[in-house]
Amino acid sequence: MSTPARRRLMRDFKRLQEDPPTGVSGAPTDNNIMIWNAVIFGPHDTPFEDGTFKLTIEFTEEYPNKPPTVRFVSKVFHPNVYADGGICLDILQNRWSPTYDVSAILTSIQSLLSDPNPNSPANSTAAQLYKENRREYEKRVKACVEQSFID
Amino acid sequence: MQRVQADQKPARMHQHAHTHSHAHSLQHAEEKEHNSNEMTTNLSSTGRIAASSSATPSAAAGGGASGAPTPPKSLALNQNHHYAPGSDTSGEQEEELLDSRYECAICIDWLNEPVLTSCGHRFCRSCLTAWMQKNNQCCPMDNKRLSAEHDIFPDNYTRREIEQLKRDCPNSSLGCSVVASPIELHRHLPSCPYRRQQEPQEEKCPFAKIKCDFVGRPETNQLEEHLKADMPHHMQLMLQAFQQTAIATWQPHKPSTSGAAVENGHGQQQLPPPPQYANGVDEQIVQTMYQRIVVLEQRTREQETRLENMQKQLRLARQQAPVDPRYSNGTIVWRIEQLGALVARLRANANNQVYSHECYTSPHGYKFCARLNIQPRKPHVLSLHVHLMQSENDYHLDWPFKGRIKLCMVHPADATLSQHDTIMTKPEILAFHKPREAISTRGFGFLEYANISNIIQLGFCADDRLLIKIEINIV
Repeated sequence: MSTPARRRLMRDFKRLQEDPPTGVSGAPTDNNIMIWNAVIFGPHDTPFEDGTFKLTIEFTEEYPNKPPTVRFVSKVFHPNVYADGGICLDILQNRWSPTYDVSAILTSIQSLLSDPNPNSPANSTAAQLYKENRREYEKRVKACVEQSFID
Repeated sequence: MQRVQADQKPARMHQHAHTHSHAHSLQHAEEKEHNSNEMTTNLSSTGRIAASSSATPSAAAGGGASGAPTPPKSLALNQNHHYAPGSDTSGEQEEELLDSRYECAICIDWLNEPVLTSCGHRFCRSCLTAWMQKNNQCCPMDNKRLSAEHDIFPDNYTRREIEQLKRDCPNSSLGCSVVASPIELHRHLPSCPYRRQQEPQEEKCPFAKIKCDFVGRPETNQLEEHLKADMPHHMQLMLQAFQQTAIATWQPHKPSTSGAAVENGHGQQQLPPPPQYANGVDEQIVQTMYQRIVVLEQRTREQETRLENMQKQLRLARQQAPVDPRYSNGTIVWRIEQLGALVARLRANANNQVYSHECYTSPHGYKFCARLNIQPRKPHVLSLHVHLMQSENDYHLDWPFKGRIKLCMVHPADATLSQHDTIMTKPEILAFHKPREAISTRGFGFLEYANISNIIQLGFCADDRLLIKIEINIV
């Protein structure tokens, strides 16, 4: 059946294919357009560089009036990423807008890797190291970058 | 501040993406023409194949086996190929004409019953209503407060503009003559009498008429494999069918009636109605295949990235496999890469220092390393010092260290231009006493070893790379 949410997702997918942003990619799973797999490549000139981080994106029929649920599958050491891979990002919560498409969501998460917000920590260890011991923080990030190669 | 930034970036990305979409639509125009030609070719091919199919029984009746294998395979392949371009053309045609002025930012489609907000943004009436019904009393584009009573107006100008964009029905190539606006076409397509009927989910063998019961799935190449592997079986089935036909026509007592009946049957077989398929199902199948291609491309990209990373690590590992420092005989060959970046880092923070790898004067001798830094008050000169390091040999060595240290900044093009310095140790200098830390905090060398601009001007720095050689000998 075709619903507004599914029609919108087909257009998001077409847009992602026709004008792919740098460093991110995504596609619906084989048999369910409401669940997508995505990959974000670590931004250049950051400790995340060269990482390949996998995510899942789950939509509901309320999309685009409600944000999807986005979760990292790869291990990510980041102040705003929970241990279970959940992401603390305002546009996925209270500052959501229906004009954000999948491309914008993935690009925003990629930007979050470069610019953490340690004042709203989802990972208190990462937030503390980011503020007080940048060297150790980068060391831990590089460890999860290498882990992402194996995943 | 961070949150606001996060919020702003997607909006800009959105606009950027849309601009590219527009440019891409222009490219699609050319592609659309190509697809149209391709579709025409396919239709002609289908016609020719039909003719060949009708000829097949005659060829078989005549005993000629050479004609049998070709037509069914071609027919199957063209059937597979025929629907995809049609679906693509339909989608691309719609996409091509979607001007940003007529696009709803929520459903990313033509504005349907457009409304205009007081802050100047357009949406479909139903899209904006659905958004605001979920306790969102603000514009999806700029978050300005919106009141349903005072800030939202019908945009009759845009509605009229869209209504005047007349286009052919995507099924016009199948005979539909409707010309309508994009909104009207949306309503027309589900009931278009020329739309493709539902395609069967399974592919039947072209030899089904002679009792071959093979059924394959459209997205696999099972049918192709079947046609190759089971040709002897098909020949046998054709022979049986021919025999039955021959027996059935053997009516010596009523030749005229039997002949008429056979002719009628044959005529019907010669003119089977062309199959028709529902556009929606075709599109779904094509999109499913497209999605799988994308997933596979994504996996390929991931694998390429991993391979590249592993190759990089391998290169680093090879470079970082120097001779065991124990057997370096007191020589440090220090290759400093990216000198520019290093200088910038040293200047940025006076606490930043960079150490070389270590060396031993002999396998059981003294252990040294070198250090580069820049003094905060003299950012234009490079300091170079040699430091003793603790090692397991310290307990049996003579202290303080007595020796000669040669420093050489190697000129990459002309060795005669290299800068040489020689230092003799003195027992009263603490730097040569037994080290109390892993790397002695006291070093010996030059606070002003080299002027950084001279290093570059005199050509010591080739490809942003600097080579410093240090030789330490016991005397």
